Order: sequence, then C-alpha cells, then structure tokens
Amino acid sequence: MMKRLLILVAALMATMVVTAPAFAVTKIVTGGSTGLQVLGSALAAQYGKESGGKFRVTVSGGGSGAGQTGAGNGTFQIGNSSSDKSSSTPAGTTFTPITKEPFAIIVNKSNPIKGLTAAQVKAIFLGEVTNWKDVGWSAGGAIKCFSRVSTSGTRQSFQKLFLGNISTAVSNSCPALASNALDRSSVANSKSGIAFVTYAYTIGSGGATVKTLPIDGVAPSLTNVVANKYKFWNCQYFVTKGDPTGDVATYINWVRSAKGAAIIKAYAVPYTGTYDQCIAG
Amino acid sequence: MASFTRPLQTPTPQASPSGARADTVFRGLVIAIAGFMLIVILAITAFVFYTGWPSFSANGLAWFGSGDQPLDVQLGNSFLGDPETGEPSTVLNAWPAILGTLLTTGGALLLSFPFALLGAIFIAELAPKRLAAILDPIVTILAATPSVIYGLFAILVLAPRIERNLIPQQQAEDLSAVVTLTGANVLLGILVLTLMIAPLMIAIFADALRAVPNKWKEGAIALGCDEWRMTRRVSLRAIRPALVAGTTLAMGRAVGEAIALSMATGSIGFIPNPLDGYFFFLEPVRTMASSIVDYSEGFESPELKANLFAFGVILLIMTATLTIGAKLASRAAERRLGGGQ
Repeated sequence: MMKRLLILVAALMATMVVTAPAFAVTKIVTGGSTGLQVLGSALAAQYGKESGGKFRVTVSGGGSGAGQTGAGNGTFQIGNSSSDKSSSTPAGTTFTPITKEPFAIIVNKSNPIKGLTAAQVKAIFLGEVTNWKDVGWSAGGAIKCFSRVSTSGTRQSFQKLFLGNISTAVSNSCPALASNALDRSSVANSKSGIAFVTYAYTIGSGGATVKTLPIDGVAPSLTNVVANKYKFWNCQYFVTKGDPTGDVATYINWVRSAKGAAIIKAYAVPYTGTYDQCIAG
Repeated sequence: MASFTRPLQTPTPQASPSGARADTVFRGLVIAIAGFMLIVILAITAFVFYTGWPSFSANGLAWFGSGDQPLDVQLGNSFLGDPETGEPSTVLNAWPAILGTLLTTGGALLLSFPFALLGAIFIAELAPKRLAAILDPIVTILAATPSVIYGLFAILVLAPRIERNLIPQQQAEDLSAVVTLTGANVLLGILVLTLMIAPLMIAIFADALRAVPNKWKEGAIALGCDEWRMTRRVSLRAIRPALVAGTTLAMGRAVGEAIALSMATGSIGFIPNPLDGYFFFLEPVRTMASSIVDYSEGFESPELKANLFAFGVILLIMTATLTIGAKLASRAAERRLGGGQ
C-alpha cells in the first residue's frame, strides 16, 4: 500500500519534469486590448505558420490599459492597445499603429430612423436629448442609451470621436456595461436602445442582430474609412517598451507588411502611418 | 452532498500493526495539505486587506456613505483622474454598491426560501419514489450550473420580457433624464439570484429531511399526527440546523455573485428611490461583486485597484461573518433540540 503511494507520487513528479519544453521555439508574449484579441490571434497564427513553427506569438486579453502597463513593466513584449496614450500610460513606451478601427452607432432593428448626425449622437449620449421624437421617430418614446464602464478603451475612443474630448463623460443615466457584446445584445433586445460599438461588432451574424446607423449620411464601413469619408475611427497599437528591436521588431514589420495587411483587412483597415498621424486624424 | 443533521456514531477503528504506520503517514499528509490550504487562505486575505486598505484610509467612514457623485463617476475618476485637477481621485462612497448587494441578496433569500422549503418537502417526503429519482439529479445539476449561464438566461430571455411588460412607456420617458429603465434591474437581479440559490437550498434541505430517522416520523404518525403535522412538528424541527446552514451557504453564493448580476442588474451604480413605489424594483443597481468584474480592466490605476479591493474586503468580511454565524446558529439550534440519539 505504502509502496504504491510512493510510486504514484514519484510518477507525478516525473511527469512534471518531463513536460518541460522539448525543443526551443522563440516565444513572443503579447496581450491587452480585448478589441485586438481576435485580430491579434489571427496574425499570431499566420506568423507562426509562415515561420515554420520557429516563432510562437501568444495573445491574451485584459484590456487596453493592461496592454499598456504590461508593455511598460515587461509582462508583454508587445502590449495591445485600442486607445491612445493617456495619463496612466507608462513613460518610455512606443505606440506603433497597426490598424484604423471604425466606431459605429447601433440601434434596434425595429428603429425606423435612417441615420443620425454627429451632433445628434453627441446630444443623446450627453443626456441632452432623451426622447426619440426629438431625432425623428415620433413614436419611439424614451431613448435607452447603453454605454461602457469608464475603464473601457472603446468608451474613451467614443468620447474622443463623438463627444469632442476623451474626458467628456457619457451621461450617467446610460447603463455602463462591461463589454461590447453586452451593449449589442442590450440594443438587440430593447426597441428603443442605442449604443456605440467597434466595427467588428457590426459585422457577421452578431452584427445582423442590430441596425448600424450612418452618421452624417456616411455608413461606417472599411471602404468609407479608406476613402476618408467616415471620420469616426481610432488607431489600434502595438505598444513596446522603447522602440521595437530584434524578434519583436521583425514581427511588427511583418504585421505592417502586405502579408499582415491581408489578414487585418477582414477586421479593420491596415494602417502603417505614425502615432502622430493617428492622433491628427 | 454533506448532510447537516446529527453525525452518525463514530466507527471504532480496527487496529492492526501494518495499518498503524500507514495511518500515521496518511494523517501527516492530510494535515500538511490542510495546513498549506490555511496558509494560502490567510495569504489571500492579507493581500486583499493590504491592497484595499488605502481606499478605506482615504475615505474614513464616508466610505460607507452615499456621496455627491454617482458611484460610476467616482470609480471612473479613480481611473482617469478627477476632471478638474487631472489627478487620480481617491474619493469613494460605496453605499450604492453595498445597497445593491443587500437588495439583490435579501430579495433573493426572501423569495427563494419558501420555494426551497416546500420544494424540499415535496422531493423528500411527498413525491412518489420515481418522480423524486428524476427531480433529485435535476436539482443537483441546477445547483451546480455556472452562474454565467443564469446571467445569459436573464439578459436574453427574462430582460426583454420585463422591459416589454412591466415598464410603461410613460414612466420610462419621465425618468429618462435621470436613469435609463431597461429590463435589467433590481427585480431581474433578484430573480436570477433566486434561480441560482433555490436549487442549492432545495438540495441541502432535502438531504437533511431524508436523514430524519424514520422512527421519529413513525412515532408522530402513531401518536395520531397527519402527514403535514408530522412534517411540520417533527421533520422541520429536526432539520433546523440544515435550514440555517443551507440558507447561509446560499446567501454566501448570492453575496459574492459577480458575473450573473453584472449582466442582470442594469449596470448603473444607482440608488433606487423608495418613493417611486413599485418602480423601486425596476431601477438599476451595481453590486459590489459586479463592480469588481466590470471595472477590472482598470487595475493598472492604483487608486481604482484599492477601491475594488476594498469591495473585496467587505465581501470577505460578509461571507466570513455569514459562515461563522451559521456555524454558531446551527449549533445552537442543534443544542436546543436536545442531544441523545
């Protein structure tokens, strides 16, 4: 009995030792923005394949803030961020733009309005307009606005793009939900709902559960961003401590090449400009 | 599942020379593992208190009050900085979150206890054997279902129905400048918690009812009690410790529930107004546990981190008090029943 127990323990320990990596692959640890997680994983998978298994890029979530902090303190070799630099961004980090990501305003499918102006969107989310009859839907009743928690990169970008300033807060009468997906399902379930989401949440079968509104007559689409018609987009960044070097630089350059762009195109607009160009719009 | 009635008679161990050594080794191993777990728990507790302390020390007793600014603005300011000074703000008046936790947990307990008790009596005493054999595993599965499933059910199935049927357009319009009334609100929070904790309570109550010695029940019947009176006067009295323990376990689960309530309670740190009458229950709240998940993206700000861990401190204290209180109460109930077999 005793012997058997000892053998079991020994066997367990042996497995732990054996499961250590059998051959060397170069790992690039990335993570942060949940908005970049899907795209980041797609890029990582393709890069791993093209390098013949020599490189393995890992992608985890945590939020844009976590991506920036992680890049600053070395947790991530590349931190993913969907938001620009802010007061809590660690000093000495470099933001390399990867994409332009459009932001969209969604409403319930039964909502008859054809579109809103940027000024109307602003008034709605500041709580100045609270009834659909003031923006062209006489029987709509009270506007149910859905927002995001203030730590959300999506909310900060929305505030920058639509409310004029990153620190102009969305009205507190709007429920502040924890994810883009919750915003979308809330609008899908509420006849008089309205919310802001990133472009990725307006496509596919999930995107079909809500109606995406043109703003100032322009529909939020990748082509309209490329054509410089739709102005409500924000850059997504790979954040590194200092300028990227070595394997990390090679990976970032690959992402910004035509090969990377081929993958990005399904999710957002590939972008190879500088950080300052992003901020300037 | 553990039974919370009186323990069985302790079996006397059969001594044998080879078994004695194995016993010692095994006991040592178990003690070592238990000691390790204790150290882990103490370390976690110390970490939560240490991380959350700055929030309490910055706000003093006002931490428990309701402030001038909504909860969500305060949490936002501790992440983004005060809009006037630009400095991260340490101000937190957590009453809306505490109230949210109390309202949802209290409501769910009031609603689920009678259902759970009657359900348990049905399963354990009245249901035909075959039906009970079907119901039993269903209850166990429901008790073990991950809370996010209940959250999805609440937000996708119940919320639209509440919004369509219970919220008159006029009321929504009147209040729309103050708060957005949606299908997710205090009522939905209570409903989803009730769905979550009632099966847990049923499972514990029913187990206890089954453990009531048959001779006690037969004695009551022999004395002329009908079945209902027998259940009421004998079985329910005998399982009082289990009633306390089951309710407390359920309360612990409800207090700490984060994900389902984050989805179901409306996502505004709002203080429902009792003057709104029936609409009190249709206004949103944000509980302490769901504040932690909702704002966890902002942990890189030390001020917000301290605030969220301060919620954790309160939740730890609440659940610890509940557990210890339940132990004491169920012991007291047991003593009042009298000792002997």
